[in-house]
This record gives sequence, C-alpha cells and structure tokens, in this order.
Amino acid sequence: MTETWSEVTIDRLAKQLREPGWVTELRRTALARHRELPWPHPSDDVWRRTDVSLLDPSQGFVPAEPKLLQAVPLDHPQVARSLKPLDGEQLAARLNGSWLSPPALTGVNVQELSDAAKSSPAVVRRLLESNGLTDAEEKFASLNAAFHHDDLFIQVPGGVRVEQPVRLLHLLSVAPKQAVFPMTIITVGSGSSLTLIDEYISIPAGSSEPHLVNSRIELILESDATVHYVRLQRWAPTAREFLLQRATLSGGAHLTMANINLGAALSKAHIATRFTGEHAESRLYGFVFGHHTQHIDQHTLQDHQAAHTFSDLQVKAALQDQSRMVYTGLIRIAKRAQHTNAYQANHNLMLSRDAQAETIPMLEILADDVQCKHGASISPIDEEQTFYLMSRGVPREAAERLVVMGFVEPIVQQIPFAPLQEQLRQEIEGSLH
Amino acid sequence: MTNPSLLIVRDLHVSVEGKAILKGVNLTVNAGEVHALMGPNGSGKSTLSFCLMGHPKYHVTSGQILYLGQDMAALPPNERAAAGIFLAFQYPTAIPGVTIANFLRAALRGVRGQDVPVKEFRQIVKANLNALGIAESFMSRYVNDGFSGGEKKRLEILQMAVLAPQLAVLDETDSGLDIDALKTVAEGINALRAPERGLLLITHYQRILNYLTPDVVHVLVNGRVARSGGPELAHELEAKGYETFRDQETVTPVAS
Amino acid sequence: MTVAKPQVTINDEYEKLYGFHVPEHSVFKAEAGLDEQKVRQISGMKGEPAWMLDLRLKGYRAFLAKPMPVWANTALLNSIKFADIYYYLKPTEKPGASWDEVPAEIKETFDRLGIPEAERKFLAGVSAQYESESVYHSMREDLQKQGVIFLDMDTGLKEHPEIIKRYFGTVIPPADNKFAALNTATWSGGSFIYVPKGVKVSMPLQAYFRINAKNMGQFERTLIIADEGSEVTYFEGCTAPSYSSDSLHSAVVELIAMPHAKLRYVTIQNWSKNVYNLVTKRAIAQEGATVQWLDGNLGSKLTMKYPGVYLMGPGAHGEVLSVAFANSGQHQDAGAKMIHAAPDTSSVITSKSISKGTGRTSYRGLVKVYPGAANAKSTVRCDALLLNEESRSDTYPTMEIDEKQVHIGHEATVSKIGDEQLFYAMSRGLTEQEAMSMIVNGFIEPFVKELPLEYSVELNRLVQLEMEGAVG
Repeated sequence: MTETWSEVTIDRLAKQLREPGWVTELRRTALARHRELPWPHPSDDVWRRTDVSLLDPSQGFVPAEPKLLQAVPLDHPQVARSLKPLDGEQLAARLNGSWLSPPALTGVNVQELSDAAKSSPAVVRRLLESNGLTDAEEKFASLNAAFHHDDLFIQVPGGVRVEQPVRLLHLLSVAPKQAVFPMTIITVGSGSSLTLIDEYISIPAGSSEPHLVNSRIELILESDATVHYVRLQRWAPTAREFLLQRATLSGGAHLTMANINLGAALSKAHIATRFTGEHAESRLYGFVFGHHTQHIDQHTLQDHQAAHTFSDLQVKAALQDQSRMVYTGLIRIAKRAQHTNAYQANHNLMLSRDAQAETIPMLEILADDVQCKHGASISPIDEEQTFYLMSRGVPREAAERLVVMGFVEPIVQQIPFAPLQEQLRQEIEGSLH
Repeated sequence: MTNPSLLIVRDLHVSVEGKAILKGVNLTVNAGEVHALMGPNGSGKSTLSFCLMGHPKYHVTSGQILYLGQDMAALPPNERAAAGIFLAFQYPTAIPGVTIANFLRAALRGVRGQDVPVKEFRQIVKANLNALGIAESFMSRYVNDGFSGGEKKRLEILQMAVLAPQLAVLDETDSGLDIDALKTVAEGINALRAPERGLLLITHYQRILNYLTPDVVHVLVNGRVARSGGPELAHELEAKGYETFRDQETVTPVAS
Repeated sequence: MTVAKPQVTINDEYEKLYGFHVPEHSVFKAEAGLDEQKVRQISGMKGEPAWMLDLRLKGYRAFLAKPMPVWANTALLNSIKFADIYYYLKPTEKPGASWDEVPAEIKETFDRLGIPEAERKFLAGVSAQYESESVYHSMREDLQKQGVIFLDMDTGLKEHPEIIKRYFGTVIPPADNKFAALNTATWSGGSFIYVPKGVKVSMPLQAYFRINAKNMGQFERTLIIADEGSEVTYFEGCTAPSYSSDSLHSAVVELIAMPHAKLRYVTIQNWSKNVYNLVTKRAIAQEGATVQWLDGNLGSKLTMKYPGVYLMGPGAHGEVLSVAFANSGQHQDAGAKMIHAAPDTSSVITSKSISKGTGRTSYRGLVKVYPGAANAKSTVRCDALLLNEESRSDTYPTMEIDEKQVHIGHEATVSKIGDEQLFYAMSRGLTEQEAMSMIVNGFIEPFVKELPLEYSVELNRLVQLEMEGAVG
C-alpha cells in the first residue's frame, strides 16, 4: 500500500466526517487487516476469471475525499431522468455524500453513519464489525471498512409498514483515477416492511481514465420483516466496481432482491444471503446487460444456517458486443439446516459472436432432508421462437428483440414498482442493437 | 382461369437434416376452397406445413411453392405472413416473458407494414376475443407459456382471426381437443371461410371434417400425394385406414 | 417403522468376495519409496528403450515439481505417505497365454473373482494384472487375424515400439498433473490396444487389475487407439484386499478415436476402502468419432477421476456417464471434462451420485467451448441422492464458453429418497430396506442400462451390497 492509502488518509477522512474515535479505530484495524491478507489465490474458482489488480486502489488511484468531489451537472440526461420522482415513490437524492435536499421519508430513519455512530453506537459497531467473509473477500471489503465515506445508516423500527417505495439515489461525480467507498447499512425491525430502490450513478469528468468504486451494502432483516430491495447499478462506462452486498435474515423474514446491472467497465460483485432463523425466505434476481467490452463477474452465496428456510435465485445475462459474464454461485446447506429448499439458476443469452460466458453453479449440501436444484445455460436466441414470431409477420430484428425482452421480463417483473419496471424495459430495449 | 391459384405446390422435394421427407408433392388450392390433407404419422404432413411457412430447417431440394403466382423460395417467414399465409402450429412454441398483447401487436405491425394505433388494436382484439369466448386477461399471459393443449390451439385461432390471412394452413389443429374445444375451433375456422380465402387443413383424423366440409381431400403417404378426391375420400379413409394407399404408386391429378 | 437390522455389514461382505489376500511370492520387489535410481531400475529391469527412460525421468521431475491439488480433499491427499509405498512389484516372470501358465495362487485369485469364467462366456480378450505386471493375456484368434492388437503395455512396447512412441503421452503429457507425472515415472502394466481401420470388435476386451500386496502402488498405463471407422469396447475392473494401511492406484489412460471411430471405455471401480484412486483419463475424438466413458465408482477411500474428451474434429461426440457411491469414510470426487474445439461437436455428461453414512460425493466438471466451435451442444445432468443425515454432496461444474452459436445446459439436483416413493413401494409390501435399494437402483438406471448385461447384473449386486444397513 502506498502513502496515499495509509493512516494519513484515514485521519483526514475522520476529521472531515467528524466521526467518533472508535469508528476511526475500526478503520485502522481494517487497514491493518487489509495489509496482512493475501491477494486471492489464482486457483480459486471464485476469483481467477477477473484480474483483481484492476480493483487495487494502490495501482495509481487517489482517494476521493468528500470535499474534493466535483459537482454533478444536474442537467446531464441520465441525472435529470433519475432525479425526476416516479409516480408514488419517496425520493431522497444524494450528491457526492451530501443530501441534495434534506430527506423527508415517512416511516424510515436515515442518518449518515457518523451521526448514527453517535446516537446508536452499539448497533453500528456490531454491524461494522460483522464478518463471516472469506479472506479473499475481506481483502477487498477491508478497504471499504478503512476508507468508507458517503455512508448511510437506514433504519425501519419494529412494527412499521412503509407503504410507499423509497428510492435512494446516489450521484457521484468522479475525477479520473478517483476511488470512492460508499457504504449503506439497512436494518428493518421485527414485523416491519420496506421497499427500497437503491440507485447508483457515477458521472466522470470527461476522461477515459478509470475510476474505482468499492461498495458495501448490508441488509439486516429482523424476525418477520419483509423487504423488497432493488439495486440499480448505473456506473459510468469507465467505472470499476467491487461490491459486497449481504443480507442476513432472522426467523420468518422475507426478502426479495433484484440486482440490475447496467453500467461499469468491470464489476466484481459478491452477493450473499445468510439465513440465521427458521422459516426465513429469500428470492434473489439478477439481470446483467452486457455491452461493449464489459466484464461482469458475479458471485452469489445462499448460506442456509437454519432449518425450514427457502431460497430461490435467478441470474440472467444478455450479452452483446464483446462483453463477458462470469457467474459463480454456491448454495451451502449446513447440517442443522434440515428441511431447506434451495434453487439456483443462471441463464446466459449470447447476442454476439464475440461475447463470452462462464458459469459455475456450485452446491455444498451437508444436510440430507433438503430439496436442492440448480440449472445453468448458455445459448443464442432460440431459433424456434424467432421462427414462430416471424411466421406471424414480425421481421427478424424485431422478433429477436421481443425474445430478448421476454428473457429479461421475469426479472423486471420482480421489481415491486410498476413505473420503474416500465422505465427499465424502455431503457434495456433502447440499448439493444 | 384469370386469377392465379392461391397456392400451387409443384413437385416439391424437401429434406430435413439430410433426410428426404417430401418426394414430389403436387397440390393446388384455389381461392374459396377448403382442402384437407390427410395421412398417417410420418408421411410428411407437418413438413409440408413448415415448408409453406419457410422454416429454416426444412430444405427445398427441388420443386416450387407458388403463392398468388409468386415463388416463395427466397422469402423469410415474416414476409410470407405479410403476403397473407398463416400457419397454425401443431405444437406452438412458448415464448416466456412475452405477453400475447405485445406479440399480437408486433405481428399486426409486421403484417400491415405499419404501426396499428392502440385504440384500433384494442378493438380488433376485443372483437375477436368475444367471438372466440376468450377472457381478456388472456392477453397479459406469456405466449404459450404453461398453456394447456386447448389454450394453445385457441391462441392459434385467435391469431389467425386477428391477422386475417388469405391462405391458412392448420396443422393438426384438431388433435388433442375434447369435443367442445373441437367445436369452438371448428367455428373459428368456419368464420374465416370466404370467397377470397383458401384453407388447408392438415389432419390425421376425419373427426374435424364433420364440422368443416372440405372441397378436396388429399392423402399424403411416404412424402407423396397418393390420391386426391372429394369429401367422400375422407369417409373411405375412415373405413379402410391408410394401408390401402401405401402401395399406390399412381398419383391422381388434383380435381379442379 | 420397525425394520430388522441387516445381519451383514458391508466390510464383511467385501472381505468375503474380494478382500481376501494370498501370501506374497513376488520374483522382485523394489524397496519402498521413490527416487531417480528406482525409476532407472524399473526401466532397466523392463529392458526399455532410452526414450522411454527419458520420458519416465521427465515424469519423475514433474512429479517432484508439481504441487498437490489445492482444490480437492486436501486433508486426505496430504495424508498419502509416498515414502511408504512400494512402487514396483513383479509377481511372475512373464504373462501366461493360458490360465495354466499362471502361478497357482494367482490363478486361484482370478478364479475367485470369476475372470476365466467371464472370458469363456462373453469376452473377446482378457488381460489380468496382479501388482505391477500382467500375469495373463489372451485374445480370440479371429481378432488377431484382423490385426487387432491387445497386449499388456510392457509387451506392447517390446513388440510395437513405433506405435507407442508415436502416441504415448500425447493425450496426457508427463507434466499434466502430479499423479499423471508419477504414473509416467513409474508405470508398469496396463493395456495397449490398437484396432485397425474399419474393424468392429463386437465383444468387449477386458482387463482386470488386482492389488494383493500391502502398501502397494499400482501405476498401470493404458493406451487405446481406434483407427478410422473402427469400433471397440474396453472394460476394466479392479479390486484389492482391505489392509489397515493404504495403497495407491494412479493410472493413466489415453484414448485416441480416429475419424468416425467408436470407442467405449467401461470401468467399475471397486477398490477396497483403503485405496487412494487418483487417475487421469482422457480421450481425443477426431472428426465424426464417438468416445463414451462409462464410469462406476464404488470402492476406494478417495477417488479423484475426471474422464475427459477433447472433441477435436467436426461432428465428434463425447459422453461421460458415471455413478458414484460413497459409503461411510469414502470420498468420491469424480466428474467429467468436455473440450469442444471443433464445430458441430456434442457432449453429454450424466452423473449420478449416492452418499450414504458419512460418505461424500463431489461432482467436478468442465465444459469448454473454444471460439470457432460453432453449433457445439452440451448437456450436463448431475443428480445426487443423500441417504443419511451425515452424508454430504457437492457439485462444482464449470462452463466456459467463447462462442455464440452454442447450446449449453446444466442441471443438477440434490435430494433424499422421497417419502412418497418409499411409502408407495412399502404399501406394495416391500421392506424399507428393499424399497430404498429399489429406488437407488432406479436412480442409477440410466447408467446401468448402458452396460452390457453381465456388467449391469454385477453393478446392481454391488450397489445392493453397499445398501446394506442403509436403514436405521
């Protein structure tokens, strides 16, 4: 690690964010941990297909301290579109780690992490310290733990049903070679419900130099909580991303999660769901729209630690141009997690001759009374479907577009908010060529 | 005759994955006529229907398909549809994620060569749904996805009604239907009969012909039309089966 | 549900049928452990040409240099004591051409295993290997007349050095992996088969591998070449007594199917549960050729085996059909590799695994499609059945696709025996034990029905044995 990525930067961050001393101490511990951990071993199937040195901030990246970020042009078309509230949603928008206007959300407490650390230190500390990662994951996650800023603590107290969907928009304007470390922690109390759309946009200041995003998202569902979480990833084409996104489900909790991956040059995402209580259920959906020379590497973990739990996962990728999709997914069922049903599917639609797909769906089953199934496929647009459409008068190009949209539709359907569904359909269809 | 025949199939030879299936089929369908093409399993009935529609897997090795006097060989399926040919599939393909509404709209746009205003589209669909006794909620289901056999057939008839083709080829649309469904389907087909239209019914059984009287019946055996005749031929088949036609070498010219 | 506990345990049964051993009477036994001198000694005793010694030394150096795999059951792998193993043990001076020429004790062993009887009934040729060397060899005369070569590898090297020099180590190079390297250094015995152009061998050729001595390492080497348009089925069986200390079996099998040839390789591996079975098996299929691996894994302590087919010519087809049964203390780490390097190639992988007691099965697979291999098709299906609470199953398939015009599908299921199925069978009068055996046999049926009748009967019987004590 260079000078730039040292305690000096941590101290400067701490001062700017005015956080309690113990938070800064945790940052220092994380940095020390990062230094002692090895880089992922090349034989590790989960890591070997992505050049992780591209995600190493010490390779010439500079910290994007909150005050150094530049202003976002609010009339930028993508920014303007995202800033327009959709029918029926509550929108809270942030620009470079500050609120564009003070958030006014019903049923949800939103605080910056430094404030939450003062008002509820025990909860925040426990969340910041939670681990359960592999060494390789921690090598990257520890960087976020050391340098996080633009960090939010979102809380729904117990017994509250948040009726209107909440959309959190994170706008980041980045200078070339900047590295940003956003963190979002969401806790939903017992019996509460929340629909959250978490949208991330980066706008680079006119340069083809890359910028780096190392994000962490933690979702904590207390018993019987119901959460719909949608992550919209719209990083700029020059972005490189490492994402650690985790959900922990207590007994009876229900999670539906949709990850829509539209941007970035390189994305390495680890998305994990852990079941700690019985009768918890999760449904995870992912869509990757690969275009240009994008490299998308997603790893998912369905970690069943409790009996009578259920998980379903479906990751779909439509790959255009020279894009490359790598999927590795693991269902792990612990010995005590009897009577668990777990499903996993990864489907890749190859839209171009130069696209590449790799898929490794894995199972580790240590309990016997379980139902577990996974499937994976890699195929071009189905000729029979195209023929059927053409036989009804639809020209080939339109027929193929329909088939692709049909492929995407089941994932779009999982977004529990119709206006956003429609926006996404148009956006994806508009990008097909 | 001044007008060209609707469909002329001339000495058609077709192979699939290198295997010869049709070995010289001759057939003429004129406007206003209903033809029934009958034959045992594996005789090449479905192959003929896919060829008429231009399925890429079926290779015409020699012979011709003329529709309204025009050679269809170079036309992709959508242009055949736009020209007025319709094929009701024996096993319609499922397209998960694509709603019937979106699908029909795209089809109508393709066949007409221009966009159909929403209002007009709704009217067309509604009228046809009513006529076929199909609930409107049907339109938001995915094309053939998880459909029962009867639902699939009904969707085929609905599409035929909406697209109003000039030549409709129905590939075993009667198979696997109970008697009520069969009646509905037959009514849908009868409703389409018109002086300017031609129908080619491909069927294994004589059953549907109780509801739809054909003008001409053809018997396809081993990739060739073994015999053609009037409606009485269907009854003869019912009584004697296909065995008697297997050895028949001579090809009776189409009655016209 | 009360079900009588079965009277026999599996180990007793294995002991009775296969686990017996006879006293060692070898004509030569190298000291335990391996060094360069020993590699030279093996080659020297066999009177090999210099190029083979060079190859062995290359293998030996690669064995030292290559690390142990880090992705598999490292705990078990690292417990192999290479220094305690006997790498070469010669039981007799030369293989017999009739069973009468085979030393009495050894003949008795194969009699008990039923080999001569099977030969009379349905085999076109038989090779029997005992420790490091082949002890019996014969083939039907008509096949000899047609130019079919079926020899043990050592005799093959003496009689057909030009063919062996050309192909040996071309499918699996000496430094392919640590265990292939070890085999290259120490190989002895195994089969060499050449089927000339257009010759169709209708009955299977069979080899039987038997380890008798304690701490023995068996390193047979097999090379099968099916020339253009020919057809052949090769069957291999293997057993060993159950000693308290471990043995190592590390074979290398290379198959070459020339254009339009059909090659079938059948293994029913039933090593005793103290054998490490770490083998490398790979085939090349040229234009229009078909290679099929049928792979049954019932025995051994740890098996690591991933038969592969490199589909090098247009229209080539590869299949791996495997069954793994892991009883308590066993880990069956098996799988398949399909490499599509030409257009219109197709592959099918079907893996059925059963874990019982503390047994663990892992499926590890690779399907790779190189750019230009248009219209490649691959279907992978893995089903795992868990019989007890302590059982474990893992699935690690990999699909790497660099071509758009392909159809690649993978499906896997893990489940226990369905209560409904059990209930249905028991309501018709079967005991729970019978019902479970029946369901397990049904589960592996797609594999069994591909086997020649005699082998399928044998396999069902072996599974039956393994199923003893499944209830309770």
